[in-house]
Amino acid sequence: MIMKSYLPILAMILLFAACDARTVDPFEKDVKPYSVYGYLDLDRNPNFVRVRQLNKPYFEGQADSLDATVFFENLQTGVVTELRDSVVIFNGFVTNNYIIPESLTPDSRYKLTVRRSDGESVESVARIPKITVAIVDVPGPIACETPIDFRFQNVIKPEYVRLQVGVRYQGVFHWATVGRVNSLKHRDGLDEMIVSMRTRNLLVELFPPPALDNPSVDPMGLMPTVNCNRLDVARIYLRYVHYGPEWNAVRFVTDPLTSTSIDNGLGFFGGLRQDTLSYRFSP
Amino acid sequence: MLILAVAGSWTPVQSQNAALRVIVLSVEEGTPVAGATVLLSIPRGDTLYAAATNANGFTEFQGLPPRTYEVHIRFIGYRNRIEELTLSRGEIRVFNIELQQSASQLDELVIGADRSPIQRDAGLQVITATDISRVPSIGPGGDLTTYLQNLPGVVTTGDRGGELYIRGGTPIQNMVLVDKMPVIKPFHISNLFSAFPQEIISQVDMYAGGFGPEYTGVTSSILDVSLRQGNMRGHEVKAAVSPYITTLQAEGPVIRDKQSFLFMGRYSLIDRFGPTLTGDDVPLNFYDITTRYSFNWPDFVCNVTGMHTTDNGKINPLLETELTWTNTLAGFRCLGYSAELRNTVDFTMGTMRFSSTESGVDETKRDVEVSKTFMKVDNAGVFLNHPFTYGVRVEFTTYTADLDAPFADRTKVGERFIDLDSAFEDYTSIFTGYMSWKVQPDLKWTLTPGLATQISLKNITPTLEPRFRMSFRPNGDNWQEWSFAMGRYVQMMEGITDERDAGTVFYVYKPIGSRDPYPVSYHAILGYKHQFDANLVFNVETYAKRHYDIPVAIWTREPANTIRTGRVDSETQGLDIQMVGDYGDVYVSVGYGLSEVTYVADPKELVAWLDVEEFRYNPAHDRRHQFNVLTSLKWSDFLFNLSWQFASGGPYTKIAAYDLAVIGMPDNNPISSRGRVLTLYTRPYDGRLPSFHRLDLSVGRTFTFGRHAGLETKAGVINAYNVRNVFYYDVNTMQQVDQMRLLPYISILASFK
Repeated sequence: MIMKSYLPILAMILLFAACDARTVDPFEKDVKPYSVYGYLDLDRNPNFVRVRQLNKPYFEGQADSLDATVFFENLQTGVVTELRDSVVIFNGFVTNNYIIPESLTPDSRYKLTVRRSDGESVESVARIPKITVAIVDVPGPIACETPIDFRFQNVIKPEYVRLQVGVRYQGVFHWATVGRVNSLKHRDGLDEMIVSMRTRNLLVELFPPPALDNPSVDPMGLMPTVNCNRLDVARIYLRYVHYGPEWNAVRFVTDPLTSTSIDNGLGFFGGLRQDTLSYRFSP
Repeated sequence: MLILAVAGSWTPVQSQNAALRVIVLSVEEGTPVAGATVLLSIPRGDTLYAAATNANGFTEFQGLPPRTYEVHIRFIGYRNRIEELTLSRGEIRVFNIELQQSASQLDELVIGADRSPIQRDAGLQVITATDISRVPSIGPGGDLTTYLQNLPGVVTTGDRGGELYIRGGTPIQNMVLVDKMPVIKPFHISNLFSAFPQEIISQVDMYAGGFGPEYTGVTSSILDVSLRQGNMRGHEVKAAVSPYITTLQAEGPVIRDKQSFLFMGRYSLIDRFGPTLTGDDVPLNFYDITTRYSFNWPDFVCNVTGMHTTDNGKINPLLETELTWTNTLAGFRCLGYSAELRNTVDFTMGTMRFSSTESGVDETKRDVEVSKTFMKVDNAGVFLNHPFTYGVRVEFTTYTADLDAPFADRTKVGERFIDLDSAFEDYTSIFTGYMSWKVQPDLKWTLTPGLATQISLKNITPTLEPRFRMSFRPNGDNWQEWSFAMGRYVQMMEGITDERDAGTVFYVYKPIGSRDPYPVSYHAILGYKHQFDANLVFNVETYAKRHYDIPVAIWTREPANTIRTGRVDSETQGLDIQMVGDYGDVYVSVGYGLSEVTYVADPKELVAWLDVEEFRYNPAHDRRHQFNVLTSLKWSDFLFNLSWQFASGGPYTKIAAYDLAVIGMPDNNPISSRGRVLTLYTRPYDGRLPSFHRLDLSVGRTFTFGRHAGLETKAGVINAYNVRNVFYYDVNTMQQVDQMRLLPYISILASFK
């Protein structure tokens, strides 16, 4: 009688033991197919864009298994190019970087499409800004205290310019981003950004005194810790990046979680151009 | 307040009615018999009163009309005793009686409904050492944790980590007491063991909810473990070994019938022999030591208890993250029941320290520590001829945490969390008072209203925690019983972890902030027990719990751990059914549990990236269905045990993406920068793991060599059909971590008296 009562229990046990999926699929069904990271630099050739399949762990062999076809389209001409992959491995992390060999033209839009074999795709459009006209606007010779207007034209809102200043001091090149003493701003009604500073102010950006952190102090009145006459060479270098309209939402940091740059994917894709100019001054 | 509570006991007796205090001891060991049924009846007539002895072998009847009574004492495995005594007006009598173990089964069967195969009552289940011994265990003897996992409503998230969830309550919402002293994490890193082996347990009261006002400080459940005394009349030494654990136990009288000691030490071997027997790496290590010194004086019993546990290991063998925790507990508990005391006095005092560390690569680690000193006094008296208990507790607790931020750059496989915030040190002083009144107008009804209050020095406003328990026996006996319990519960401590990741059991403990609301819960439980005969009982219980303001670590889309918390509410409801047949040589228990646990949160508090008005989810310990079968069969000299468990898979959080984010372009270029490792979760708990099921088997045989030596042998297997049960998916190593596969074992226990 006891064994009879055990039989149904054993039968149930064996039934459960027979078949049941015992593995976990860690990915959600609707995971975005790809992330795309890259930018189009007007003055570079080639450019690169990183494509990653988001449901692949980091250390599986991506080089042979990336299910992706990448297309680059010039929206002005309609020419579509299929891009070639270049695999770079960083300490075991396999990355797929696609080469964009096309020479870019200013004031143009380009579309990047990444397509999976099942038809799933992501795409993004980047705009190359117009040629930036950079002007160091000063009526006469430039001295350390001469007021200068640094103007960048053809910067159409929401495009913007990031400016860095560089000098040679004690045999080493020093760079700093302009923004703590004064910052570039769009002029009302014009496609131009401008910042008015003296050479001394630029050196404060590079060699800031402690008082720069004091909000009660006018930074334009401060003296740098390294004065104009102590530089190796009396020349100021200005490196600027003119960002296309896609960059405005993320500014200097690309946040894949908040960026809406990639349609149906993560990441960021934008256009820019950058250049460097310089001027001499009298210490 | 303490002095008044004790002094209130020393008042000359003026009542018309008498009181009878019964202490039941064992003839063989001179130690208390817990759970013995004591009945007072008219001589050769009807039963008037019934009670069961507690862990001290003590029970009390108050408000007794003066007359002659027949006292019946019964307990399974012992010969029944019947004595007659006469109580005079206002008398308080202390009645000591000893029960002798019975070799005959006849005595065991003549019990009737007074002794049920299970003892359950609206959220309460009483667990004995005999119950625990029926569950296959990979060590010698049984362990409380393996028995608990066979109960409907008790959930573990895996076979590692030492975490138990009881009817929707998380480990932080459940309290474990050892002789009324709190211990934070007594379940070992291997969930097959706890600090409570069968050999040292007298009785365990598990309140899955609806507990009375004598318990405060948590909002979900109580596990009240009472240890037994060391043998008062004979010395005994036991040594046992299996491939997974070795134990040493010693006990005996220091002064016969007056003082005894008990020592139990266990050390795990699972990390040494587990790989050989299972083929898997098992980096888990633990040990525990329990000591007890007992004083049985006339009218007074005292027990001094010390306990230490240490656990160390890796929940995921491939992850370079090591967990360590220790519990150290010391204290004493004394019960005074002299006839000169109008009210019995139960006094507990002690200290506890818990520390926990999670460490990873490059000597980075996080530490937390909780230290507590406590004192508790309980008095039992009479109000309007019905038992009235009241008490006070004082506890001082310090919390410290040193939360380094070592994993800022997740450049290595195996790194776990990012950016824990800070270090802190905090303390609380909490004063608690309670009262409870047990009204039994007749044999059918028992009504127990009660009230508890807690006051923290940081927030002087006292809590209000009404409680109510009730039982109704339609026929005035225990063959059928309806029971009900409800109450309000408040908690002043929180423990924070990233609950989405089952691979972590590291909690940051801290008091509830002075500006934050206390977590509060409301329970309602309704139960029905039907005993068909002396051996077969059916029990069904339905319950509902509502929790408010549960602190949960704020989530980001990435696996992250922060001590910043948001608040959630939870809804738990369920149904537990159990049928138990105990026929001496054959024992069968079948249980089914149906439950649902749902958390509700304001998305702005918890999941800011989701565009929803209200965020509802089922947390990791939501197991919709549970089914348990436990059988024990004694045949000839052999004892066969079988345990089969089934549980629905629990929720888990799926991955949205594994990305290498090139942050900071154009300064970082895709061709020259690897990018930041970014693992992103989807909506929390959006997936369901596969179901869990497991069959455990064991067979044992005992040999005796004369009167002084014995050998217990046992062989068995855990996970007999080697099913692959998922523990969790580790997002760092990107691997599924499974629970233990087939685990064979043998154990040998030698005893010497």
